[in-house]
Amino acid sequence: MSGNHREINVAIIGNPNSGKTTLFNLLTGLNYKTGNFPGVTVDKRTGSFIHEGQVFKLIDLPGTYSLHPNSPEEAVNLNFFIDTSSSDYPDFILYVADSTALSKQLLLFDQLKELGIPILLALNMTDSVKKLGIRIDTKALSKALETPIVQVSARTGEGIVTLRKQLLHLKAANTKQSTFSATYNTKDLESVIPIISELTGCNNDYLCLLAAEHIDYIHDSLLDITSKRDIKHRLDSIKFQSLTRQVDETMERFKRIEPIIDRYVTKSFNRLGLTEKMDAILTHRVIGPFIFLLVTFLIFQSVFSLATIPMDWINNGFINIKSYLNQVLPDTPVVHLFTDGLLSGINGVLVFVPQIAIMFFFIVLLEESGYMARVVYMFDGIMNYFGMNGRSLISLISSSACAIPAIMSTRTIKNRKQRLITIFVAPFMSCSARIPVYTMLLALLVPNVYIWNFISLPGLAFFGLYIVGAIFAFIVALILKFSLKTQEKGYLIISLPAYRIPHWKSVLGEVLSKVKSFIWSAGRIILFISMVLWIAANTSMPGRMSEVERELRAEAPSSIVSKSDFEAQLSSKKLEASFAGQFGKWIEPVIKPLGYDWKIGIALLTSFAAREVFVGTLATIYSVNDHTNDNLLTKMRQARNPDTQKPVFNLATSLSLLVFYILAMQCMSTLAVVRKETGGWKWPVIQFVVMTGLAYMLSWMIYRIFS
Amino acid sequence: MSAQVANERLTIKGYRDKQVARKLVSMGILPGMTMKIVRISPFGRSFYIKVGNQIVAMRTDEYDQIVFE
Repeated sequence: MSGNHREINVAIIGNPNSGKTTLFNLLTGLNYKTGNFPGVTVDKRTGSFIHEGQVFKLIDLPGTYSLHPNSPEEAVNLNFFIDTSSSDYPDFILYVADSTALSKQLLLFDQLKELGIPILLALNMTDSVKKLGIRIDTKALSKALETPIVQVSARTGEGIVTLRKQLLHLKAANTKQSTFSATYNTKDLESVIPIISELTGCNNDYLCLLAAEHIDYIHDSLLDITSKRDIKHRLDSIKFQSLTRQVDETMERFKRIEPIIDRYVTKSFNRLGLTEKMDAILTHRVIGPFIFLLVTFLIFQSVFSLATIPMDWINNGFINIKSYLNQVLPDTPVVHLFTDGLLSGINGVLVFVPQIAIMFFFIVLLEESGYMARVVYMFDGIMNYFGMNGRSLISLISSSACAIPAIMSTRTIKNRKQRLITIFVAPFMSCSARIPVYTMLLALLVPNVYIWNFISLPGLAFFGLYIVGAIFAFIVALILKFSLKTQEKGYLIISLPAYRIPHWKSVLGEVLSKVKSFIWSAGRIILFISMVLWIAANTSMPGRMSEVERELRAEAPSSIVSKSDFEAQLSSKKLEASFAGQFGKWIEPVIKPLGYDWKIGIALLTSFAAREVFVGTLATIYSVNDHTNDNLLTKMRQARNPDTQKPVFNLATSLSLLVFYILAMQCMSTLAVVRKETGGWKWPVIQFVVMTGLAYMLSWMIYRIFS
Repeated sequence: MSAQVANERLTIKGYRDKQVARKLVSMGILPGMTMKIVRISPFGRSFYIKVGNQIVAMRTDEYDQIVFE
């Protein structure tokens, strides 16, 4: 990049709902990296853009109302500004504020001005300002706040060029805007502030004061535990009143800001009027929840009807590519590893993209329109009872389509415990990949009849399976609520922002960012595991495969058996000889108490790539040559246990399998996403053990009861 | 203790719980401002509140931490 200039670090910061992230997306394009801030699972996005040869590095900081933190997540900002040695330490601050609610949005701005870092104030949502008839005298406001101002609309892109130019000027002027005003006195802290300053390297009195007030939130890498204890001791000895200070400071700041805003911002009508009228219906005690049910029903319908089309394209596209490559390329194991193994793996990753994209499209729509905050308000009571948050409800509902977007969407849940519980129980909800498995097993169990001529019995049973999954999600959530330890007390004090129509650019930006993050972080693990599974199902101890083929040819001369029957039997025998087949036989003693034989064992293993693979694997192992369900069902009904001569898929086994598929963690993609979202293998491993253990136990009980 | 009567305007005097206080103060919900409960949530555990020129939602037990004049 630019060789002459140093990169300029710009911290982008603002209140929640200020449109900060949308502006960040707009400024950096899709040119950014996502990581985590130390110690917390808050997205840390860093991106860059070049203006007139100067490289700007943007750091997206979490949205908060104040520099005074209320949770470890909010403390990210305080720690960020204290850590002057960080390579991300900002040269400039880009403060984003919603112009339609300016007076409440400038508290954090006023605090940041104390830091002596040049600030550019971006007044966002100028497009709404015009529509709402709000007039802002930016020149006078800029003078009164002693800060350059730029009016932008992150939704439409208006004012972005000016913003970039202004950032460059900020650099050229190299303004020291330090307006350290004595809104508080630090005399009683004279013995403490130098200590904090020396230990953390922070050279700003205000930041040191904040560190003293919130010493427990300061990151251990900046201030070790012994020093913290020492400082706390000193604070106690001077009877330091941190809360009183915070209240006094905040009130003083508002007293200063509000008259300025009143003077230079004129409003022609009450912005909240329409919102309040809408809320009278949308958050109504009785009607509200029904409207929510209707909304989720519509979202569901759209996801199911829209996602299947591109999913079919992806699957068919890969089938075509594979068959083409198999025709033109030589018939060697390495080629098959590529055409069948690798391409199937990529197929397995991409097939999730339509569901993730469509589900996120709706989630972002709910979030940005302001409706999500109402959902949290309406359902907090019941969700909180189960240790979750109103937002968890949306995640759990999404999980009935696919657990992956559901787990990714928990990022908006700020409370760590609530988020973890939501991630943990989401896979209990029956996702769409379970449908083929349920359909097949129900066909074995439930006759296809109608009750009173219109309720289909299999359909009713199907619904029951979904309910069983949901019940387990809530039971496990309740158990986790009482067993997970946390210092944080959960709060529900949230702002309900004015309703607004989301802009397509910002919605698409968020959707793309989610899809990208899924493909890069989870996709690699999914690809790796699916390759391993493919190799396991297609390789054997050296020579076994050709031996199997020779044996089969010897016992069934090709003149008697048709070619397709022979091929089907061959692939069945090969699967049996493969490592996956060996695995099936190896775990047979373990799964026997559940009523499963080694053939089901193989299918359990291969369906770890995706649950629906279960059906395909059974079709191969029962050497069904045309992959129709009826054909497979006939073979499954005929299947006998070689020892007892009883049917394999009897009532007990089929029920036990159903229960297993409702409860077991049978999806490597979900595990990969959980690993990504929780930042390690600890939780996916616990989740796998708990879910599969529970599935094993209950399947065993069901098998015992019915056999 | 919760004010079950909706539509009553009350002026904030102070806060009982420190954490609630910090949270409210950060959001600009300060002593001297008037608060009005507009409605109660479907499951009865939280309030829809108008305070100053903003709308907030909070649980009933958090509301109980506010001292009114």
